[in-house]
Amino acid sequence: METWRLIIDIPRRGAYNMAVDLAILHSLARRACPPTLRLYSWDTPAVTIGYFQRIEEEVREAECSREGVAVIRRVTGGGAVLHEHELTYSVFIPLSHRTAAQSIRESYGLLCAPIVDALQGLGLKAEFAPVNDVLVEGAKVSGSAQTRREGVLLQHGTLLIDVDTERMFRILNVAKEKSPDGPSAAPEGRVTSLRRLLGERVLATGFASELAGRLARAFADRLGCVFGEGGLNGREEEEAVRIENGLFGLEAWNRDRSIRPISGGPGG
Amino acid sequence: MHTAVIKAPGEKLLRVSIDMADGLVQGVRLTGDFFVHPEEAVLRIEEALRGVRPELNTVRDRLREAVDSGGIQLIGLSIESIARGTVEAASGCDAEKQP
Repeated sequence: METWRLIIDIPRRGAYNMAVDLAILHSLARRACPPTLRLYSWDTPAVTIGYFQRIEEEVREAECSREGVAVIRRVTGGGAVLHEHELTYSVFIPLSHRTAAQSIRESYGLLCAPIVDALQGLGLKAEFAPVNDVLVEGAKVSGSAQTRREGVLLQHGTLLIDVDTERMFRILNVAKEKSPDGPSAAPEGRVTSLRRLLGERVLATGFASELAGRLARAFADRLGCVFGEGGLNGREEEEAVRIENGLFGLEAWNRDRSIRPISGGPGG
Repeated sequence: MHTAVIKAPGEKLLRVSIDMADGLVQGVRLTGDFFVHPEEAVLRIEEALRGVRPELNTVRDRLREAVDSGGIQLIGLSIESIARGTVEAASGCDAEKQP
């Protein structure tokens, strides 16, 4: 069975978290690392917006600066997320792998399945809702976004542990048109969290690592691999800093879609 | 500049922002929580609409050609929605010009 790398990261700031994901993508593109699952979190609240979104349309910037919330544009499409108390994952798979051989739509299903499994292991009736969401009792508890570049599939997403909906809707500008396709509902009812579903025990020390363990096992089962726990290699660490300073930390990238993401470049 | 907001069933939110000059589309920006693969190709879609007359069939044909020839995949987004949004935003520009 193939051995993949599992990185259980410490909480990081927003721009650095996004930079690490791109650095690992480059690393795998050079075949300088094995396929990787990274599990991470956020040391301060941050907003990420989708590649095709505009800060002015999605975020109340005055609220963000008042509360010290950084806003970062992702290399992946999808919607704006306030990252606060959550488990975030990113998975990196060569396009030659059978998971990536599926269409993008199908691979969302394959890669959201471990999230569903992990939630079901906690006794929750979780279901995948195409294109990219996982729902429990009709409300979203996890959203994911995928890109394919440089021969690598990157999918990252969030699993909400606790959500301050009041804060979320103060910071994010949720369009009134973005009602669900079914009967309309208040935006607050469309998002849920493990705290709401499982109670206060999710806030206890140790729950986040229990959740990370469940998610990693579910990924290993679904992807047919075993994980060897590891960290970033030296070049990935250097590149993450370079990408944070040269891309995700810059207004130019975060506000202007004509800026191209830094590519991995040859060699390694 | 005028923006149309489109939320088609089963699709993501799409905003089509349009500048018009002399009855032709001058510039287009597509924003929203949809997916375009490869991501950078959204610029080619926007470019394809430059100079087009904002009529549904014409816009649709331009879009289809850009998407097909570029091997571009749209997820949570459709040619139909972009076309509808373009026409709607363009008519919004016209309405803004009225005294």
